[in-house]
Amino acid sequence: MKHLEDEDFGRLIDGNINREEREIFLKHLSECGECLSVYSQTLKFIEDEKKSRSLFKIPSFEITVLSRFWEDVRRFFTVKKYRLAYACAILVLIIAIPFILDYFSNARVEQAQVQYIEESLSGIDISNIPAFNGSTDPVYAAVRAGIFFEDFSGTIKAGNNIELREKIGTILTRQLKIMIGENHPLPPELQNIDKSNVVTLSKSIYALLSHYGRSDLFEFGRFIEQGIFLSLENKPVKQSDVEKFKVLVSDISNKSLPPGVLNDLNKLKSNITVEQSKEILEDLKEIFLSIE
Amino acid sequence: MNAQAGHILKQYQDYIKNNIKNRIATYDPLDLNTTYKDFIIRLHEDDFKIIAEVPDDWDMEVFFDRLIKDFMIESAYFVLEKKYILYRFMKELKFSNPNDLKLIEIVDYVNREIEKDGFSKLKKFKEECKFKTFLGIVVTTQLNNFWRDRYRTEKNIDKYKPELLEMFDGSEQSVLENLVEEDQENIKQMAEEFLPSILENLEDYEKLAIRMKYKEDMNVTLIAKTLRNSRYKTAQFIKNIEHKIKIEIFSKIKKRRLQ
Repeated sequence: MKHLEDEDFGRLIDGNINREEREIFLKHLSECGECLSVYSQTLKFIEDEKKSRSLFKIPSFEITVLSRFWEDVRRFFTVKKYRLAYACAILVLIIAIPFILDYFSNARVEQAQVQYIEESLSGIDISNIPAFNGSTDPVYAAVRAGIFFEDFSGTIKAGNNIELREKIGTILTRQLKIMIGENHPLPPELQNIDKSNVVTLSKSIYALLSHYGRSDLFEFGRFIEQGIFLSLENKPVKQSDVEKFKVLVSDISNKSLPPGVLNDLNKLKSNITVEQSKEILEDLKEIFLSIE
Repeated sequence: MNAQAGHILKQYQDYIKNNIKNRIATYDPLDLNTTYKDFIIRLHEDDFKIIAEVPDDWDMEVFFDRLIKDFMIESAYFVLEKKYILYRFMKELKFSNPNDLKLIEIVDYVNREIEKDGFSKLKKFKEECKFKTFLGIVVTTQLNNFWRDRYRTEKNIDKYKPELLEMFDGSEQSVLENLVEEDQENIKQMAEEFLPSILENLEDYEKLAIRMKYKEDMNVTLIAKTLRNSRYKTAQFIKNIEHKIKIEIFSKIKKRRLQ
């Protein structure tokens, strides 16, 4: 039996592989214990390594920045003639501390979001975007647009991950074009997006989709992804939102939504844990994002 | 200074920068500016010796392309080496002391194998995945080669890691232990007899999922990633296969008893 090449394993782990090859490789792994062992050992290490990177990134940054900050404060207070300034500084500090803590907490959440987005997109081949489940169906595309819009805005808020941003931008653009056609102009903000015009872009897309009667589905997609992001902060989804989208889904489910959506929404009860809620939302997301 | 070589370098400076820029994401964690700077320094060494020795009829773009690739492979390897070999083995093989002689022996073997013949194993990299994933695979393969080597020569790898005996003596015992809870010895014996053929007759993906769970001890997240499915669906999938195996075992036992 011919074993897999080193780079074949790498492509399988990174998700840089087409469906046909993937099936061949997985069939081989199901029969070849030696290759499966190499694959599993490396995958465990690579995934562990990813986790440890995200664990160490933020705390070390906090420690460095905070220690420098306190060192500067200590030096400042050793000069006696600035007593009035000391008092002001203490006041400023007391006011600033909640903001500083909030800043670091936001930074951690943003990093966790970007890591999640990166992982969830790692398996999507950008050259094969139309291959999503229901790829040319505007209903699916509207929900996907909502999901990818949240990913897009999360990535932009977190900073300069240009590669990831471009990947999501391409997928999002594709979904919008499915709904409005190739010739209709897209919101100009989509081409030149930064932190300052994310809200404007969301309003423009909403207005555009309202014209085609799909804005509710766009909001539904956003709700799914926002719910997953909330679970990363250990927060549950709002029950009022769940109820709102239940009404929306039951109105249209008979016509064009895939089966299982309403069922998943019904599982999102207030007494479930955040982890369970995340799994249900991921399941829901997968209905729209699975590859055909 | 070799003026002509210096002139060639100046002429290809933009090409070199763009080439490194196009590759940099593949060679994470290298960064563009440092890699570019280090590469230019390397070219300046010995009065542009590398460029000066290129035959006149060579295509310089092809030459720089190969040189940049080799340079980035080596640079990324030296950046990742400690984490991907020494620290990885310390964690996986449960060594707490980096100076442990057994650990040093393993690390030296893997380093030597990777670095021999001018990094020939790494230079097979075709840039179709991230370099660090590729390096992870090469290190795993070399570690397994080390165990095979030692197993061949000493027939005893217990002193390194007893669990690795399983690598040479694959057993489906754990599947059995998990699925057949009966205390009666004869039931267990029969189940043990039927299990290999039942596992062999599973569909490819079912076989793979069961092997990943029981033989490779992979968790649901990793199995789900491999099968490109959600964790929930994967857990359900495995549960169904286990149920199927259990039913098969007991129907065969029943048949045997009736005979």
